[in-house]
Amino acid sequence: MKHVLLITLLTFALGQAAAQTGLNIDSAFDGRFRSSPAAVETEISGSPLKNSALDIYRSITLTDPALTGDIEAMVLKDGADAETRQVRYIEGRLYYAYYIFKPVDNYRRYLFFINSFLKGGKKMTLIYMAGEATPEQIKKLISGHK
Amino acid sequence: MNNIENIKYLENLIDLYFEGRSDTAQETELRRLLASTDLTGDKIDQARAVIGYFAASRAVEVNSRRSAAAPKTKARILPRLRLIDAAASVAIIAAFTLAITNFRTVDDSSRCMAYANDIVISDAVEVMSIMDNDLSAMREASEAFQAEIIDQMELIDIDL
Repeated sequence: MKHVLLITLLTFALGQAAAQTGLNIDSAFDGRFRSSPAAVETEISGSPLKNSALDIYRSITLTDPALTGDIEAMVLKDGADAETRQVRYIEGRLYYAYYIFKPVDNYRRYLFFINSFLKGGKKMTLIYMAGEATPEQIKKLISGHK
Repeated sequence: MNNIENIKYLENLIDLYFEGRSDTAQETELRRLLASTDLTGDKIDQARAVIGYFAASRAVEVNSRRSAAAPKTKARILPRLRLIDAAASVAIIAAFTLAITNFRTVDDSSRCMAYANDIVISDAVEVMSIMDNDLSAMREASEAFQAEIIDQMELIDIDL
């Protein structure tokens, strides 16, 4: 009986783990901002992304600077696990971050963060992308949006 | 039989027992009577103590034999436990493999949603438009970052 319980728990835990990004920013996508008038969350996967070599695209845009602290902390923690990172701080606060995580079997994860409030802007944007897209493809994807 | 007859009968069995003349049936009867009756008397009490002692010793010996026999029982249980452990290991590996596969495929199912102010936006055009805006913000920030890096590199060149 113990074995069955253990197997069930492990299967459930692994299933849960597989459904998430495996990063600290998972918590930001737990639905906490969905009822906020100062936030927009997107969740895109599958065929809408077929031209980008991505499997998952998720983002959160906040227009209230008071809400940005938690996400900034999560992004800072995730930076420790990134294989490649571009980071810029303004007065000790994280202003810009672009992380590329170590690929697993050609499956890559990307994290982007910009807090324009720190430079007089009006929003903070967090983007998580995952799939087989190479950094070059991500660069093209970004530069194609002018 | 009345009590006196019972006592005499019992004492007779005790005598036979200690003189080594009792047979197996008589010894069994003696033990049964000593254990089940409340007849008392010097001879009976002494016999109860001695035979009870031997009975207790025998019980300990039987338990020891059972303990010694226990590994045999375990030997029968162990392969079953090993089988369960093996099955559990296979299930864990299968679950892990499925999870890894799911890591790549769970989101293969198409999804195109946005959430704002408790409103769910399922219009793909609108959601993709939000994505475009996000990526534009990323592009601007990325270009600004690259420009800053180039500026800093040029400053380093001048300093050198």
